[in-house]
Amino acid sequence: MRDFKLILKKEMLDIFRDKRSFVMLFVPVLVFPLMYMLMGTQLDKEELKKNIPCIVEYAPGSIDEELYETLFESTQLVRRTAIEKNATEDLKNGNVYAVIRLNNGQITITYNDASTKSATAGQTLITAVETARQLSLYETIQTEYHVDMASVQPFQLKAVKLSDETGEANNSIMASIAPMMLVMMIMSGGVSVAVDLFTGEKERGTFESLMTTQASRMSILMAKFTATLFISLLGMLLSILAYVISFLCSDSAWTMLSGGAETGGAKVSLSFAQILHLVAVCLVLSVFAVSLMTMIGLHAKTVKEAQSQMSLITIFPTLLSGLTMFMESANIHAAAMWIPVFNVIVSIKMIFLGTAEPIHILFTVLSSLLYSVLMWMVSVRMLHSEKLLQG
Amino acid sequence: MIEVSNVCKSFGKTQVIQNISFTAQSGQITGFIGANGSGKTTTMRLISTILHPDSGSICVDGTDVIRDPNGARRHMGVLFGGDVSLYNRLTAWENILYFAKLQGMDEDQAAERIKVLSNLLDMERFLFKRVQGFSRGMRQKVAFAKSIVHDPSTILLDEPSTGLDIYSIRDVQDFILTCKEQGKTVLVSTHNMHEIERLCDNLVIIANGRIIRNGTKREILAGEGTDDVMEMFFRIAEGSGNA
Repeated sequence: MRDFKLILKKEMLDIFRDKRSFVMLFVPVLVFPLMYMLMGTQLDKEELKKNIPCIVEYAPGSIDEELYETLFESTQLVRRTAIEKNATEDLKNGNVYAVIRLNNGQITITYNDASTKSATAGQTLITAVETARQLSLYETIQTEYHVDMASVQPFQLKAVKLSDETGEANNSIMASIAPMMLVMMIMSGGVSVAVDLFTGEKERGTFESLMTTQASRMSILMAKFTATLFISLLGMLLSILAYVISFLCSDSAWTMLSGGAETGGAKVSLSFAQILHLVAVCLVLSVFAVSLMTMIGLHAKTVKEAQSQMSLITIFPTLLSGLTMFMESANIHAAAMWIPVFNVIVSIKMIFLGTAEPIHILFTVLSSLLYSVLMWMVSVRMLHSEKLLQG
Repeated sequence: MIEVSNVCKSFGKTQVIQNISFTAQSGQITGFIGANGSGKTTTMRLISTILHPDSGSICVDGTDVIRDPNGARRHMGVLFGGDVSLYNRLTAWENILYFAKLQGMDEDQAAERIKVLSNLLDMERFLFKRVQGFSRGMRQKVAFAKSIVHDPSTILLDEPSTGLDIYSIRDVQDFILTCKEQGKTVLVSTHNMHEIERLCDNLVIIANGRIIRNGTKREILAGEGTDDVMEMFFRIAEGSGNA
């Protein structure tokens, strides 16, 4: 125990003196909020609901002038902008978001579908014109022919979201995104530390010196494992913190992840039990990931070899979580929860959707711990093998 | 004292150590000489418990390194082949203190010992600086200090002066002689003939995993009819067909 504490203390000191650790741990806290703020400015749909900069073309004094004023100017939907070069060029360069042409009652709206802002502005204008046209039509029929429009409608449509009806939070977007985000953070968090603490020490020759001391091999392994796990968990917590700051700093990022403004902006919410389940599956995945990194770190002969092998264990689960992003988790058999990493991805999804059964969480936790123990046994065997220090 | 008896070691089908036996006495410096690939480093690793012999026995100060490797490590200080491997982000002091504690010393004991070693190896001016950026000589001194900080009775040095400048070589060699004066057992593996001439009392010459000569330096030199260590080595190597 004394050796364990001593080695762990030294490893932590060594890690926190390494500039790379600071970059790895703290850069996301700074970069993510900035990234989302930037995305927020790019995706601010509120900005595109009035005063949309447009080039407007019609014959002055014609019927079209009146139509333009009714449809666009009186509602302050459009801010008329002077032409700089020509309409197409200005649209392409982003000087304006749309070109509105009126010709004898024919309205043509041109927008740049390669630009998010222009495409959104174009859709806003089209919807506004469609709505105005329908209202005008109803008004004409009602005034001219004295027909009650409600009575001639073949049917009425009312769309209701389940979350609105039950009053529960809508976590569906988070259920798609969170598994990938969390799995990526957990699987990549401890990689550089694991490479340095195991293969790096072998390559530098300090591992050999360590083996000639009275420290037991088990305490060396335990201390290095604990240090890697600590950094992996700290990295995950800081990344989550970075996301929380991002959401607090950027309304649009929050709206995006909580179901979107169009869907009513339902808030993400988890019960205490759901949070506990989430912590449990993230913890076991961290233990699993660090056990795997330990095994690879001990097996690899060079830092380069370890890095390439560890990049695979980062890429594969991230790909897996990406592929399962839109997968329906409701019908997954409990036996599938014994598949490593996949079980955690599905569990996180289920937790956010509120469909996780205790058996799912139990199988996920048990299987991940079982695989971790097996990898530990391999690592202990490697540590006692002469081949460990042979170049 | 180091006692190696009938030790054999193979890696796969290759037998790298073939039934070797020798003794390194306390209060004496034993030179372990041989060409590259002759089995010097493997023997050092066997004694230091990093490798396990296939057969035979190795005792360090009466402790069997196979039966009680941890007990044997307590008596040993090991510096591997030109070992300058240190933790770069720690200071020289922190590096040595870390190994002292791993060898079972408490903080006060270790601090006292580091001060003594720092004085002997002339490390005061860089003791509290981070190792990153140290010259090879500075690193070698720190590595040397970390290996023997627990004041072991037996010291294994594998090519201790490799890559050092002349001042560092002098400091290291003087320190090895101090260890001898203190009654320690010193086994030095080296290619440096001047080092052998200046330091060694006894010689163990190894070729192709076999001991081809073993005795006091004086006896071996006399036996070969020369005063020159290099000449002696070539004559023995050629005589045994390992030139």
